[in-house]
Amino acid sequence: MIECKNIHKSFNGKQILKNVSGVFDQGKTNLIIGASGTGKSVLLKCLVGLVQPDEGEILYDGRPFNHATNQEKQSIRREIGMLFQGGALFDSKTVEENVMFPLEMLSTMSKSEKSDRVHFCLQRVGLDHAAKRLPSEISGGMAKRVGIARAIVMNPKYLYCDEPNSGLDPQTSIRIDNLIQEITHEYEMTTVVVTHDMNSMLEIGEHIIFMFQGEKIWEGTKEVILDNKVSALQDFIFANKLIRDMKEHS
Amino acid sequence: MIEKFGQYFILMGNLFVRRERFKVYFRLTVDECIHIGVDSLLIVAIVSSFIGAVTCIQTAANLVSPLIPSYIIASVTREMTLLELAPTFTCVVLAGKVGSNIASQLGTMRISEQIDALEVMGINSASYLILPKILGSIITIPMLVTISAFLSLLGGFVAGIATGALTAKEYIQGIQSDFIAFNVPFALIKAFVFAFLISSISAYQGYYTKGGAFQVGQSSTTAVVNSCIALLVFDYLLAQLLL
Ligand SMILES: Nc1ncnc2c1ncn2[C@@H]1O[C@H](COP(=O)(O)OP(=O)(O)O)[C@@H](O)[C@H]1O
Ligand SMILES: [Mg+2]
Repeated sequence: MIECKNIHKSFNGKQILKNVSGVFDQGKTNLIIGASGTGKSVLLKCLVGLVQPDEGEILYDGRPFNHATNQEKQSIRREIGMLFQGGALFDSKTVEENVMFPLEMLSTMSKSEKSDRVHFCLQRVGLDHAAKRLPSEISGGMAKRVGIARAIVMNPKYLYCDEPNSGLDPQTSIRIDNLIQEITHEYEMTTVVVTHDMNSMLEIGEHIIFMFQGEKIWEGTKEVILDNKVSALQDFIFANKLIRDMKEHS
Repeated sequence: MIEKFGQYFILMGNLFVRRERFKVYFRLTVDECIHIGVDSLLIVAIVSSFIGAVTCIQTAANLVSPLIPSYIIASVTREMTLLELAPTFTCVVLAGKVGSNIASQLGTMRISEQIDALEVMGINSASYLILPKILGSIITIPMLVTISAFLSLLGGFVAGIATGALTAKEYIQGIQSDFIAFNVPFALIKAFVFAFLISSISAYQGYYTKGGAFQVGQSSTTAVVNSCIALLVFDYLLAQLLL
């Protein structure tokens, strides 16, 4: 379980996050949704410690994170996997070496154990055949899947995904969403996904937080999100014609 | 400006905290030595041979008095190249080649979130990425400067004889006469300091890049300009301190 309490963050005097609180449960895909520029990525960066919040508290299963010492932060970080928006693969390394990298740096496994683990993870995302290719030689959807493989290779307790399906075709998006959800259930991870994709929201939104101009203004599940009474959220989701039609027919 | 200096020194301090295992750095440093050192051999060889040759010819053209013996041409060439041209000129060239490479590599890694990815894994990205580059530079650049000093003397030799300014015997006599042995360690101290400046300043510029491809280009230019300025300032300071 990841908790954040009363997070505030400003950049150059401009307030980006305003008093954001939330709880992300274990074994669920928790979604943070909202329009572009509302601070979703900044919130995620606060949660993993790439950005230091001005105020507030972040707890990982009760362990304080943002006010912890470097040592404690580092040990919590080793339980975190993260998929970056662009994949953030190391472009001088092959797919296999990218997935191997966290093991090389941080684990005490033997060579053959490491290699088994890498191939297991690559198989899990369906990319064992591309192991020897360079990031520049694979497609965007494949890069995201390699990113997922690298994020889960250390068996993390917490998984973050920043817009895992931006820039992908609808079918590939759904595959990635389902993959994230399956992995979350399979390993009982605490998963937080940032997205503005309606499909993902209705598909895997077991717990949804809606952000609007730096504030959390709605919280719920995919079952109830279409019946919400918040006008900003209605504007956001009913901008999509399919969802408008769906609502009318139900 | 002062903020930048502070940020630079904090970054340098960060290189030595939360380090990874020694083995990791060893392998990366060997890679960087090849990348920075071996790959720069050709350009250093070309530049220094020509510098030596030109220095020798120009000195010969300027020393027209019959009262000055010809071997002095070789002595002047030696003093010029060993003390100033070999270390400083080579390092200015390397600031262009190595500095822009370091800055653009780190800048690209920053804007494509690769540095963030390292941090989230719990790896000290500054020390993992920058320390091997600095070590690789301070190991190989003094070696390159040594080669450069030798080749510029050789360039002077070839040019001096080819133009008939002096004979081989006079050249050998010239580079041996009144030789100050301290000039060799002095040149190496300079090379060592310049190597640190080039690699650390370029790494700093690249590491703190913000924005996109345009800013990566800017970082790389700034890295070269700032390295050259720092290098010349330290050239002056070292000359005043140690000579
Ligand atoms: N490091 C930063 N410095 C200054 N402003 C930033 C920084 N990171 C994000 N911002 C600003 O914060 C706002 C929210 O950005 P972001 O969280 O990326 O939005 P999104 O919800 O689309 O992910 C944007 O207006 C952006 O300009
Ligand atoms: Mg974003």
